[in-house]
Amino acid sequence: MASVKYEHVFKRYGEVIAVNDFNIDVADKEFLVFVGPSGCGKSTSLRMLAGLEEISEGNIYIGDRLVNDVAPKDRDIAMVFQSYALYPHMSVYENMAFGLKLRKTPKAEIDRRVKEAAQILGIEQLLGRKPKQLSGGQRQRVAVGRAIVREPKVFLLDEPLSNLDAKLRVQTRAEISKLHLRLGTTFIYVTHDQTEAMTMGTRIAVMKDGILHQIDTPQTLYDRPANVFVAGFIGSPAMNFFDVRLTTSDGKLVIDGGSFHLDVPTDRLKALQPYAGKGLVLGIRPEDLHDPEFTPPGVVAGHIPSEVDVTELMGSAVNLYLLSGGKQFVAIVDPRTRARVGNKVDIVANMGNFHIFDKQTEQAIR
Amino acid sequence: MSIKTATMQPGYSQTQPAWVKRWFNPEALTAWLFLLPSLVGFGVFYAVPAIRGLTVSFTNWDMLQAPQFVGLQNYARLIQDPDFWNALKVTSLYVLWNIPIQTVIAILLAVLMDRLTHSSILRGILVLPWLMPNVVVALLWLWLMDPTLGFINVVVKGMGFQTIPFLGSPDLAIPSIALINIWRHMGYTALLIFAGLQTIDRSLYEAGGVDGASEFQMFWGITLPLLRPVLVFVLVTSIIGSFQIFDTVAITTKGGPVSATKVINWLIYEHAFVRFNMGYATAISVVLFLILVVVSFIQMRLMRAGEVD
Repeated sequence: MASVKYEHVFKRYGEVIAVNDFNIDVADKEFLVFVGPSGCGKSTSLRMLAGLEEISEGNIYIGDRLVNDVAPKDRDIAMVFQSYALYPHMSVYENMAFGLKLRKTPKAEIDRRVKEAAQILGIEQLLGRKPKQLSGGQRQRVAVGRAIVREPKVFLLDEPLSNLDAKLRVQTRAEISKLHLRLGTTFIYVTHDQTEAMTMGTRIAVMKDGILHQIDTPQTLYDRPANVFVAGFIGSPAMNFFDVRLTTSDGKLVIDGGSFHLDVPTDRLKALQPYAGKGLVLGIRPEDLHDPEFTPPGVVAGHIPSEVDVTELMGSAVNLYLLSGGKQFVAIVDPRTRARVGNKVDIVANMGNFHIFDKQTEQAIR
Repeated sequence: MSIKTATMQPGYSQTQPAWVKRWFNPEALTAWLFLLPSLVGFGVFYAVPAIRGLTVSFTNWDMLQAPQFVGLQNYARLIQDPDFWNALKVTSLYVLWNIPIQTVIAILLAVLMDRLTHSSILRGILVLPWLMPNVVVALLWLWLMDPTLGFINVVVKGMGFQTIPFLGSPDLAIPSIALINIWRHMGYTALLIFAGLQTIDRSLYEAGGVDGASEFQMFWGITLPLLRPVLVFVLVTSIIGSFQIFDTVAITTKGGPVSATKVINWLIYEHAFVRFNMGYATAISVVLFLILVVVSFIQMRLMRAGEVD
């Protein structure tokens, strides 16, 4: 069927390396997300797979077939563009039928496929309209429909939700996930939004500056980020980072943050012992910081004395912006918290879920 | 009177009818002031002479005696005038030679420029012929096409072929005049179409490529339909312009040989300034105007000019 393989793929624009030694094996039927900040090379990588960009170096395979020099139309892929790229002078039906007409598919077959795709997407009543008569969400569905009718080996989606309003985005995310399950085709999806990546992907490839930093399942990326960038990119609000020093005190290993001291739990001693005396980066997610009055059971508690700077009432939780030793960080706490601006709070850090990174290499130490 | 007092004076708003308030309120008056130079120019050089021409067409004015009202006599005459019908035929022939070839070449040039190079220098060269005065262009080609001394025929004879009579042949005269004007206008038209091409979203071509369209299919199925607004403008203006061909004829063939290039405007010119039949000449002009209105209307309907994709 249709696995996808990137083998030592580079993309150069003169001196600039947009994609730097990209290696990925995408399994058949997988939903792989390329995620990263603007300019990280994710769209370029997708476009090289589509055949819309030349590959500077390396090989790309669709299935077992090397497709470096194959024209986009012969790669058996379908693409949903960020701007939808619907043909403005054609009706929705004609837009969806265009690719099939070019391939000289019999009319009856075209009709069957278009109607079926329209039904899946709930756009049957729009078939006669032109794109300018549709809303953003409807146009997006037509773009997806145009890809579905091609029954391709691989679906490529380039930030398809960027132009939708927030509410529609959430709704469409779920629809795309359902679509993936229904069609059973390989999906490769590009986005800059880590929420989209986390909610939709079977695996996520996190990229920055043309380099693939980590490729893993969403949960693994969340639990075990490989470096500072991935740790800070995945999860919202972002992970808090502190410059700390690993010291020994009374025979115990202690994370010294200046204004706070956290005991290293026994299960992490082995990994961290070699770094005693060194300067490191401590990472703790806001959701792993708790109000001392409302700490969930089973949390191995460390304490960070701090003062509340700003509170954000979210309804289901409260975001506390705290200051400790001049360093600002965020905690997501139980909504019943009585912490108010100016209060001094002994924030509880869940020592079962912290991350330590090497200061120079920024790699995680496990 | 300041704007404030004008709109706040109770008397003002009660006594003036709505349309006066709409067209002559202080803000509108400022607008009129800005429009005045253009309006005066339009009035003096277009509107007034046009209306005057229309009234003259109902007279028999010969510039010597006072004009006398003759009703539709001039129009009745031109319907029976073989010269008029010949002029119509010759002009239509010219338009049929000129516009299709010019437009096709312009589209091809525009697409080539778009695909190969966006160089400003090239675009500048392309528009050069259009910048030259009509008369200069006509003289240039008059000499190029000369049967004995013209460069074209020197080359043709050198290759062993017969001299091409161009402007001296009744059959080749109109096509030759068309050639001159194609040469003059194709660069400018190409630039207009080139500008239109830039408005087409590039991702449409990428989508087309992924869908499986060849270059030709993309041109026919995506580029041309989306160029429609520009093409409407180009075709309407160039057809209107073509019907009024005069300068080139005046310099090169002067209506000959054997009335082969006696276009409508030449006929008007002859009657007005050679024979001083002002009444008749203006009648022909009015008819030309009406023809152009009808042609433009039909064109714009056919090309659905009012719609936007």
